[in-house]
Amino acid sequence: MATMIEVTDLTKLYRERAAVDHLSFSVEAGEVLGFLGPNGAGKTTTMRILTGFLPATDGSAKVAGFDVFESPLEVKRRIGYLPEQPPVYLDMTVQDYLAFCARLKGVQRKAFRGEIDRAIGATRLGDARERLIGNLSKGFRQRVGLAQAILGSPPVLILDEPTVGLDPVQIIEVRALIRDLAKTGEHTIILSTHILHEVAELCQKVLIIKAGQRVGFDTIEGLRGQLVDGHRASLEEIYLRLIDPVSASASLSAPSSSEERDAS
Amino acid sequence: MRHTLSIARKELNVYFTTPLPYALFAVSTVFTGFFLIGVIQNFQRLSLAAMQFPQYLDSSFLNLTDLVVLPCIHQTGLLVAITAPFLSMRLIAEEKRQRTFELLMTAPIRPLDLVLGKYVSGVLILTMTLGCTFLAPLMLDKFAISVDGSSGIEWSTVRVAFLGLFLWACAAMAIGLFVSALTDSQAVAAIISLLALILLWSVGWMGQSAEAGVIQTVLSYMSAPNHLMGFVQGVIHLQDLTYFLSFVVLGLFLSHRAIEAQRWT
Repeated sequence: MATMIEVTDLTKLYRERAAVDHLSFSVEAGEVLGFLGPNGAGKTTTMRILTGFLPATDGSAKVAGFDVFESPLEVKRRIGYLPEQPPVYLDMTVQDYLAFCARLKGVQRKAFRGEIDRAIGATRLGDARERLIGNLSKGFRQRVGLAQAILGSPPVLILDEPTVGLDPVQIIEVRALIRDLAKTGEHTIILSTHILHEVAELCQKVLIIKAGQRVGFDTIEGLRGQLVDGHRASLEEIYLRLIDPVSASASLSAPSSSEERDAS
Repeated sequence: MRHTLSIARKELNVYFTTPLPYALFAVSTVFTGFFLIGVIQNFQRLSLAAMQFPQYLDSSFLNLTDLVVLPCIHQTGLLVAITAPFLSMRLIAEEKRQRTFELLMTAPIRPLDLVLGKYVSGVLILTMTLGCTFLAPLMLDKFAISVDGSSGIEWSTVRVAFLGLFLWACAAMAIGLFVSALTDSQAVAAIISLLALILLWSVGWMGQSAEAGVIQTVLSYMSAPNHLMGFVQGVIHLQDLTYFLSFVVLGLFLSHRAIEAQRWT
């Protein structure tokens, strides 16, 4: 497998404060990477650098062999990006919005209608096609954002908390959609989330960061192996031990800890 | 080029889903009406005076184009300075506020496409508001007949005057676009570009009260109405053309820099 995303010593300073601190990781083509970390750990910043929205202070990020800073257009052509807040125009209809995005992404004229229909079908937006995005619920807006990201079938998908703020049914649907996308093997996906269960379900590999630094990067099995007596640990226990070793050992000694099941 | 057009197209679509352009068309029509009534009354007084005292006033000076249409067009320049900020304010500031800027900046388009697309849409819609002013000579053309029986409106002069107005609109839009690229607040963008345009419009009057000398000369060169005047008289001076085009180029260049800066800081 070829390396699709390669991040080396990536650093981002906001004035003196480091949001991302010498972060290195790589993702193979077709892999799904779960990106975990507490709020403010630098997940969004890392994703924004990868998509070329923000510059890095130091280090490099490469997508499909192209440096994000040196050849931004080549990188942007290969990435579908869903930011934390879906980047939608409230005054446009779903269809017009997707048509605009498809034009921005340079979808060929011949494939144009088919591509929009495919994105609408995959995100089950068929009934909302003609509606103004401003009148849609948060879950639908999230799906519109996701539809925008998969337009043109980019080889890399970067999804920043794609299931946040959705109701349980929508969460299951979005997860199913991501699983379908992953199954085709055509997409390399980076997915940030707070729902550990989601990562266990969808991702082959996990990257955990804290205060901009990498604290864990391996398959779930691999992470388990790294911990002493961790061979039966759930992902939640692994996460807590990596992020906050002191209080984790205290809380894990309590018998009630079991893997949190979210609403699904 | 294709991306420039897609952005311009989307921008125009969004403009017309908001009530803003319609409100501005209404404002333009009403103000043009005020200006027109003012200058027509003036014309009427002069014609009466010329009839009563033919020995003092030569009625051959009573030219409808010079005394009614052109002053009306010149005053419309102020209207451009007032309406342009309301059309330019949302261009980039709103994208930043709505977080859609992230979509544009992560799409495979060059910042130049973004700047030009936004600019073209802004200029188009401002030109449409100028169209409301264009109703004035069209209307007069129905009634005015010159001595030799042809139209009382000298269309060639009026066309050049409108070219001047259009160039001033282009300059105003470029300034507004730059200001909009600097902030994520539409209100701030509108206020700052309004200030800049009103300054350009009125700096000549300040110059008149300044002492004769370098300052006065500089101020009168900076004044937009002075440069518009050439066009309104039906003459295209190279320096007037340069004046407006340099604002367009400077405004677009700075907007491009402001957006490109996102990639660096």
